[in-house]
Amino acid sequence: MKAKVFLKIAWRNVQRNRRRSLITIAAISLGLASLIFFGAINDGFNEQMVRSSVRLMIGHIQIHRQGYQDDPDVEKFITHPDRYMAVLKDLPYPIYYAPRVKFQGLISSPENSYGVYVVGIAPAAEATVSTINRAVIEGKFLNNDGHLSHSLLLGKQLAKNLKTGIGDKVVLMTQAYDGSLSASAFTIQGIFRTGNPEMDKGAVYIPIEAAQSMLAYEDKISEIVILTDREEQVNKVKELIMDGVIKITQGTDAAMEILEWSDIAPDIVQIVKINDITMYILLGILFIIVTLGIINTLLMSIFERTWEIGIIMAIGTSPGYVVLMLIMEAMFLGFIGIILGLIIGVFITGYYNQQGIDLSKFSEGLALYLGLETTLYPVIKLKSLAIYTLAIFLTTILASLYPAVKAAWLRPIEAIRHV
Amino acid sequence: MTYPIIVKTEGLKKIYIYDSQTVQALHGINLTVTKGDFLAIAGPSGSGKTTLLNLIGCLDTPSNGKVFIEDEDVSVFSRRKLSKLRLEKIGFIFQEYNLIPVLTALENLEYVMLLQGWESEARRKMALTILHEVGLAGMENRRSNQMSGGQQQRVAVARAIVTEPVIVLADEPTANLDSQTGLSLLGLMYSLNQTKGITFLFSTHDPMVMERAKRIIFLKDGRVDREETK
Repeated sequence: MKAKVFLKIAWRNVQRNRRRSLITIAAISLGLASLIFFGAINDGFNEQMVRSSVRLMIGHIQIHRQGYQDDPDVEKFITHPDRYMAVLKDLPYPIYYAPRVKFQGLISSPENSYGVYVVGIAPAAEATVSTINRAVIEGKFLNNDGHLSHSLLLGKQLAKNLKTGIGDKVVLMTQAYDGSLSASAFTIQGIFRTGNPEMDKGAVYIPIEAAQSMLAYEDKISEIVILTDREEQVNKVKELIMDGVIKITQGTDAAMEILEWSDIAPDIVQIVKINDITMYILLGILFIIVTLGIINTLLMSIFERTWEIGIIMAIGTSPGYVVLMLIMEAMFLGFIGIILGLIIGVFITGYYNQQGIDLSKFSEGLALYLGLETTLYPVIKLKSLAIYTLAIFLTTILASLYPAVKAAWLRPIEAIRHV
Repeated sequence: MTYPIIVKTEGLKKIYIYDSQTVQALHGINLTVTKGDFLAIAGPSGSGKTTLLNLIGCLDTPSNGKVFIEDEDVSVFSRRKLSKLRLEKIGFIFQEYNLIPVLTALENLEYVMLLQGWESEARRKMALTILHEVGLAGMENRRSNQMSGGQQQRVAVARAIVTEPVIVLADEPTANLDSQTGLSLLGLMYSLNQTKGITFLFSTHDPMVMERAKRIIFLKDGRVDREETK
């Protein structure tokens, strides 16, 4: 009952000096809207960076022979890949998958030779799990019958270093898994640019049959890359794959490893963490500015009415109730400010989520993180939204606590005499 | 007939410190107020009237000496206990009306009753009755900025007496009112004293108040100069 009256007084006080209340509400709502927007930019950036890396090469999940991730030796191959493909085909989730054969080799042109990372792919399947086909800037992506013509894709920087172009011949050399030396001539069919310097100067794509032939693999492969339809399905899909793979490998000595993208590329996880920390520092600074704004207006609001607080105390209101009353006032301001802040923040972020933020001017610098994408799409995450909202609300309450306690701590006569 | 002592001060001193200067407002005041008193503390400006009232009302703390309210030494009370004491035993009427501006006349009365834990229905009934008694029928829903000074001061009187406190402290209650309104307000308080036995302690230099007072204590430079009883 007392709370009801304190709420009434608090609400009427909010309405009493509308300009001052509006300034406080504006500080709260703009602060929250800024947090939502900049937080969404950070979340969007991280999401796009992860997606870009996952889509370019890593995929969501990879199946290897046990130990391949730590030591990608050609002797660690997957035999009878069709059995694993069958498991993937029967999964109750929409997924895409592609086999790969990977090895280190030497590429030579008439001018130069370089060590490269060779990826043997099934072009049609590869196009469903990676964006390498979209990264081709000269010539064409590999065809399904590319093995017949021994065609090859290489990065722009590598092509430049080799002083080669579309239609030129190059020779790939490597050591097969049986120890023999293997060499094959290929025709450059396409040149790609991913934005990732390691790939652009050191990766080569050839048809999977050609790669198997060079390694004397027959139908063996190095890995199967899997892309799920939705990120949140990764864990479940991984579990199902593990179940299926265990059934296949039971009773054999072919131990397998099934890894998620975060296991395969921990550096990306680190970058996301660093980005988050940087953003938290920036958000922290923004937070301090917002908090100071709120404290300032609430201090003014409370100190202007100190005499009134003195009267309330004189007629028997305990200091605790005075603090409660002033906090309720701040809660009203916080509540209205948060509603407005949510509307403004979600509206602006939603707009840019649809339209995107054009970062093409910075594409060179961002290519390493965002790959082929030059438009950043801020992402609103409910968890972030909840954290910012709660933080602003608590800040408002805490900001009101200092002036409220200060006012309530005065002796009534000091408060009444306060000018 | 002897009436019980409800307020007693012993050697009450108050020293104010402004920067490096000290000003002694009260020099050891000994005073008793008995139930049913209509007592005025009179004296020129700066004589210590308001300071004495503030100390008795527990709005301020003495530099030395003690205040007893119904035999309890309030100098040892915590802030919370002092709040409770003011709520339950003391009614205040200030010179500048000092109502809670965001509340209506009725709500101003109900506020203190609510703090005392009155039930909703009894609270409203009593508050309306008192407002009628002080001549404010029909003004229940007005806020302070919708009332004249005299009306606001009547609300303040009503608020001070509505919970039937041990004593009502009135700090120059007529100072901001015209003589007619002041006289009317004084009549109201006198009538409440006579009919309900409410104890009033005024600080004043208004001759009208002194004329009505049953007892007057004259202060001069923070000391009791003389006392008159009618």
